[in-house]
Amino acid sequence: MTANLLISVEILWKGMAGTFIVSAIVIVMVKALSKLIRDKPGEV
Amino acid sequence: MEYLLEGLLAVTWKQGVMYAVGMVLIFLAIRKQYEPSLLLPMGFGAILVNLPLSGVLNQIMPGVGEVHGIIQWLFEIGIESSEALPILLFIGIGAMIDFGPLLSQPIMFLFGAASQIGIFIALTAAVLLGFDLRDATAIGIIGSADGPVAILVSQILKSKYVGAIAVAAYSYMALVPIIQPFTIRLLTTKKERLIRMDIVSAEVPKRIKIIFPIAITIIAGLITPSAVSLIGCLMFGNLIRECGVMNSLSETAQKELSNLLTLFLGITVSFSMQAEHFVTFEVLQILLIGLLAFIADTAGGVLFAKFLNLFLKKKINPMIGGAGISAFPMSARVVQKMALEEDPGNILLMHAVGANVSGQIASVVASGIVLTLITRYL
Repeated sequence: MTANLLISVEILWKGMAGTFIVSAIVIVMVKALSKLIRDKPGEV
Repeated sequence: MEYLLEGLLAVTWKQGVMYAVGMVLIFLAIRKQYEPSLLLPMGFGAILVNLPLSGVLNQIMPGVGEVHGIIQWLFEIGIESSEALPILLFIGIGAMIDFGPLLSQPIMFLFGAASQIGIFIALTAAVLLGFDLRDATAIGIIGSADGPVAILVSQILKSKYVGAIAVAAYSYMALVPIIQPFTIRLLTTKKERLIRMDIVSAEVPKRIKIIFPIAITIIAGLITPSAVSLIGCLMFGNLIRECGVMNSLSETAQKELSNLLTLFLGITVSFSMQAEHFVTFEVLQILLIGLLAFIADTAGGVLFAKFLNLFLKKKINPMIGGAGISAFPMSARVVQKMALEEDPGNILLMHAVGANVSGQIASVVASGIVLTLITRYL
């Protein structure tokens, strides 16, 4: 069980870190898109 | 005439318990309107699959041989061999979601991420209770607060607790209006709950709304390839919605497709609610871990908002963090209701919806990451 517990702790920090990293990438992407694209709402 | 009594005499006490479980689920669905579209089919299915020699399961009939049962067939085709039902449901979910509130305030993505902590807390708790890594991971995904994701991951991992995991995921999603206010009040002061935030507009240029699902699919697909079927279908549904040239298909995805798949998913999952697998001490443990997961999810989001407030000039109402779970739109509604109870003029809905839809994406991403990580140890 100790080995599994260590694995679960490793998954915990790696999983949370990974999820935050992906979120950060998406935030940067959305902010970049917002600067690049400034057309009127609803307009394609 | 004893053949008329064969079924009745074959009922075991465990099957009797499952009839009671099924009726409780049906009661919650009809009387309390807790996730009725899922809990009612699951409750009815729980009764169906636990009737002795039930014709909805494969049976060996004397002189005839094997006869196929419809629920077992649906399970084997729609979930076990292809995971098609939960995956395709994501097209409908994607078509229902307006990412505008999130795109207009992208920082809300962080709350979606923070609210996935329940996955990992639940996984660790399951390991501590003696579940092996495979089942512990499947149980942990209850913390994604996303029924189709929980079903999908538990099926990919070949967990024997698919039914219990689905029941826990959907039941606690239905109980969000009870679990979240309790947790949020426990972790916040009245002063924090009174924080007002600037009203934001959800108006976002159409082109961003079109590019977003494509870009997310590529980013998430490259980083967590194992989640690409989920995120891909979610974003495909959203692209249908936002592209503006497939309105009729978008409506079909939002209504007919979602309704049909939800109906089939609920009754199909009941295959894994057969008494001999369900009436066990482990299932009771899974239900308790699920509750812990939802509390941890909410706490993760709230505490992360409080952490951000240490550095921000314009404070975030920490209740918004609690809306970062995937239970959409219930969690956003709960937060708005709480805000209005504290201060009748405090409108947090757009922020809460932003955090809530970010939870939809984050739950899929986190589940994909967990799948990628766990397969190294199985």
